[in-house]
Amino acid sequence: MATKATAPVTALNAGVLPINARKDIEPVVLANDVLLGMYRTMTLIRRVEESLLELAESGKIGGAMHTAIGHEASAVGMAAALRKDDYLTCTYRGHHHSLARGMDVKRAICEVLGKAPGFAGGKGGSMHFVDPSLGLMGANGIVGAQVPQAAGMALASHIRGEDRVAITFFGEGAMFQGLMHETFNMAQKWRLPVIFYCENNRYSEMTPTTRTSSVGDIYTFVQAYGMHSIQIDGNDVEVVYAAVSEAARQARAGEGPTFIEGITYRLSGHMAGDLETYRSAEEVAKQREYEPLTRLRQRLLERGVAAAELAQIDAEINTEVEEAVEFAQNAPWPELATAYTDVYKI
Amino acid sequence: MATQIKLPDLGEGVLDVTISRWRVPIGTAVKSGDVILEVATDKVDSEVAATVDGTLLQINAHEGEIVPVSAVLGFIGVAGEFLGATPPAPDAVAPTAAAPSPAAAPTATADESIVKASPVAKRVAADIGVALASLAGTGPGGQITKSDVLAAVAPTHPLTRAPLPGDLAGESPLVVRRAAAELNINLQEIAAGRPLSTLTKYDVLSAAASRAAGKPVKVAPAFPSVATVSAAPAAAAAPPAPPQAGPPGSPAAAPAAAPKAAPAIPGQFRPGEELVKHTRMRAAIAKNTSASAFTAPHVTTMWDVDMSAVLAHRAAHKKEFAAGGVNLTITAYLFEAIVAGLRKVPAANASWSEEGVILKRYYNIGMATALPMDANGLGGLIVPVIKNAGELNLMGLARAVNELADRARKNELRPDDLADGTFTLSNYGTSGSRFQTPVIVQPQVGILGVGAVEKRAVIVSNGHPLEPNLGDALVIKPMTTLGFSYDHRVLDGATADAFCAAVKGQLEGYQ
Amino acid sequence: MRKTTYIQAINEAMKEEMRRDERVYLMGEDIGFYGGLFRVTRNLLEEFGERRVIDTPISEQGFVGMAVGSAMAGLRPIIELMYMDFFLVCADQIFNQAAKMHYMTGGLLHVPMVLRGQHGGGKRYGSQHSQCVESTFAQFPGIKVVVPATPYDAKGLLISAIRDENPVLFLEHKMLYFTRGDVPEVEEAYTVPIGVADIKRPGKDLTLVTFSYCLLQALEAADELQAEQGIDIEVVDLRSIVPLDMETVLASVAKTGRLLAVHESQANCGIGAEIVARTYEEAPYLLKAPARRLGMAPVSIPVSKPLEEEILPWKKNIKAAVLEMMR
Repeated sequence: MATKATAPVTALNAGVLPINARKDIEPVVLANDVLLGMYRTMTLIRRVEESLLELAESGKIGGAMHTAIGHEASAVGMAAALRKDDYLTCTYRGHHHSLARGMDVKRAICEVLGKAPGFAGGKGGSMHFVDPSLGLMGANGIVGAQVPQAAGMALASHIRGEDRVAITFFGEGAMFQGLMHETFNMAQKWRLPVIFYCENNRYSEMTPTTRTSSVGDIYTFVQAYGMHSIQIDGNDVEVVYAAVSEAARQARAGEGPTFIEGITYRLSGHMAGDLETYRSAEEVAKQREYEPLTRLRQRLLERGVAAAELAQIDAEINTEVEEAVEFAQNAPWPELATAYTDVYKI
Repeated sequence: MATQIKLPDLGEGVLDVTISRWRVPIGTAVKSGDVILEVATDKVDSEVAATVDGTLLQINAHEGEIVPVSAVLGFIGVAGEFLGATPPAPDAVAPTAAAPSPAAAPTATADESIVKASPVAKRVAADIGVALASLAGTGPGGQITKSDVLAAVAPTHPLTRAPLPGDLAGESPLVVRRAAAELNINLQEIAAGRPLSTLTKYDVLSAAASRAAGKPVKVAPAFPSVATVSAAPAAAAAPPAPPQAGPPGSPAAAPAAAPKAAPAIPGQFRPGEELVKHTRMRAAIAKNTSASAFTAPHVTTMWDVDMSAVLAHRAAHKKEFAAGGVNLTITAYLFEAIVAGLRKVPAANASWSEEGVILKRYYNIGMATALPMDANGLGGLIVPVIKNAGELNLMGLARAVNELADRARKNELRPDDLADGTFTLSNYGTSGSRFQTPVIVQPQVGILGVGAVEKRAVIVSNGHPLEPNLGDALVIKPMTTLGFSYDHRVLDGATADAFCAAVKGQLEGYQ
Repeated sequence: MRKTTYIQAINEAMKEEMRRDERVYLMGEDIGFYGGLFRVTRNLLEEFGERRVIDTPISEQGFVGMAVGSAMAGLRPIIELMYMDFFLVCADQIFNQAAKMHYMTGGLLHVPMVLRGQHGGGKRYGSQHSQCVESTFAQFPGIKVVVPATPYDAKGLLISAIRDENPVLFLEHKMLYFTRGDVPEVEEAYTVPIGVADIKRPGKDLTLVTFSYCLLQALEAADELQAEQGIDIEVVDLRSIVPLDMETVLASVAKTGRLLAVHESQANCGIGAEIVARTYEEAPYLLKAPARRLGMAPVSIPVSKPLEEEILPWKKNIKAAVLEMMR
């Protein structure tokens, strides 16, 4: 069927590991208990994503499902740096942002499966994760659409005179949608309290970004608008935490938006069922050495946390996720009448 | 498996009926033979009985609706079957009884006796709580009819529909799903156990209105259901001739020749003009007489008859008949004479068809009977039929005439009384006419009109029939004039006159 | 009552709502400093300030997307599109985002946003600046579409639209802007409900259902047909396309037995076809003659005056269509 393409010779960053990213921000050293909490959350995200892939492979999930294995640090670092009432929008690869901010795992898996206890009653699915009580204002199926929306939320905060910020996540592929630039211009001009976080995982869907981008380093784009922008190692949770904290501080102080390019790598395929013919197994294996969960585990061990404690967390998370998956599999389908409800708010 | 409720045979030419009144509500246990429903046709009211024991599960045809004779009117079966968990609650189904109407029906007042209304109308009005005094009648003489009463209540509209069968029972129609999406209504919640295929748009609108008002609100359609659309357009749209009438290629394509029901651009009424809407009967008479006139080429032959023999015979036997409980009328003699005429000229007791003349060996003679005229000069006409008149003697005929006239007066004629006529008598002499050219009742080929019996001066001749002679005398005799209209496709002048001669001979020959 | 223009009525509606509800704000091109290309938003910047009357760059996708986000976050934006034709530029944010947000999130988020702008032909602006596209809008569930034809309806419906919890497209016809009509005094607050049609001219021979500028053309046509042919037309002003008030339409058809739906958007797959289809779906027995619709023929709109007049389904075309039906 599909033949393996040769890995493109000119693929930027294919061989560039996250630690070669610019160090525009000094990482913060967090206390062990905080880091352990982050480890727990990142492990949870990892296990949930892996379970969802299994469910997809067994045909229980239809449509397009995009997992974020390898992206965990950007979500968990961000969640610790922001408040519950700060707004967040993200892409269809957005499970990790929602789970990092505390979304209920059972309800999340139910939603992906289209079951009734899902937070959207099974009507939104994987690409439309949302929970306004946690500031989760929507993952989006259209590339880039969530970005001006987040700027609009920042505008609302600004008009109301609040200090809430909005953060929006997008891939580097989204940078080439026109509406991104419209948004950058307006956000900078009006000094909106919005944080633009680009999770650069080097691939725009199935094509290495270098094949279609006239620009190498993504963070340079917004300098044309005079916006403050940085590039960081997006796989280091303490770096992410530091970067987002600083950006939030600036935004709340009325200093306007920040653009953060977080270099990372997508270990799973673009979506469930992706045969990944566009990159070599060697490349993926090499990148695994720099993936965030492994690095955090190493860091914790270096800082004196017992391996047994980590193993304990692993075991608890495994159980929690298994139970959640079973709950979701046994959960009921939505009532047919709900197909016709919620078109309008009446 | 539930049993369908359908109409009994109501006779030829009956294409649809109006549902007058369900005698029992849904959920009632009925026995085979119980009358459960009253219907009305162009001519008579009729009753429908249950054909099996069981529970009335479902009403498909609601009061006031006009349905074809083949329609399924409802279902009788075992309580709980067929419709799933529970049969619908009674008040969800009764369209007129429970629903609050936009124009609230006034409650019945005590003194209704002075209001002119047909007996059926009075009963229906009392049942559903409509004050007759508040209604305008469209029947003869401004009489309030059953349909006037029903039209005054909230327009009926099917508030439940029969569910789709099997696993399609949950498939609601597009108009319902659309309304649910527009108004954010959960169909399962408002169906309350009923299959979703029984929901209507008004269930959804009512639920949304109730939600907005914080209390139950019922939304009815802003336009009439099919039941309250006047019968006239429906009649005009129906095929103009009953199936057995003229051949498809009959002259001037009768359907096209039938006058257009309304001009292309409807005119307004000028001052001094008033529209009186058609009753079912008037529309039917218009339809039938037009069809007959444009199908059968009518010729009328005129014969004078000396009725002195009949009158003498009657005078002699009246008491004797009365003792037998029979009022001996002239009409009975006319019937006997007609049978004699038909025996002589069998082709006068027949129907035309493409292939040939269909002769009938039985004699069902109809008696055209006028109904009272109203203030506008509009009346009615009904033709009860004496069956197998050929097997009756004068006594039998007189008795049959009495019974039919009585039933007609009391508005108790059954569909059977009106069906299957082979020949008709039009005794217009009773209203004073000397001569008319009556219209044949299709699919018959002749109708005998009989004028008033009156004293006339006639010449009786003993000598030469035409040259004046000493045997001629001018005498006063009770005479009548026959007007026999016949269908020239089947009868000709000579055969028609042979019939009349036989009739005359019979009438003049009584001893 | 006093006479105002259509533009003044809209301006008043926005001003009153902005005073009443601090969540309401405006965004659009040239709306603040300039007062709007058609001056619909004049003086609002002066009264409400930069925070609530925002001049945007020419970035429809961007600022409509921001409006959607701000509405999700609790504000009530009124966005002006300079020409409704430009909806194609930001269609994703309107139809893929705003329209679907409530449904996709199972009711967790909603977008109480008004998108207003002028549409329609008659001023020789050509193909890309003269379209009526309400029929297209009607195909997307989740939005409401409102098409007032008089100053009274414009003010009342805009206030209802601003207060509605759903995204509402508010379509103003450029030929209506300087028409005048009676509007209650400022002290007499009123609204016109969305989704309710209005009989603008009672009649008995034919039901003509229409909206927006075609309403004015239809009323003229009806008067002329009455005088010339004695035909008495009942003109129903839909006022809203979504939701569509079929009950009023059918009650009218019950009286007249004839139905003609007229609109300026494309006849092909248009709202008129939908009205005819629903009539046959819900009450075909009311019709004495086949129901018909009249809309624009499938051409783009030319600039040249006689050509533009030729294609627009206005008075002459309406009269011809009615006479065809009454034959």
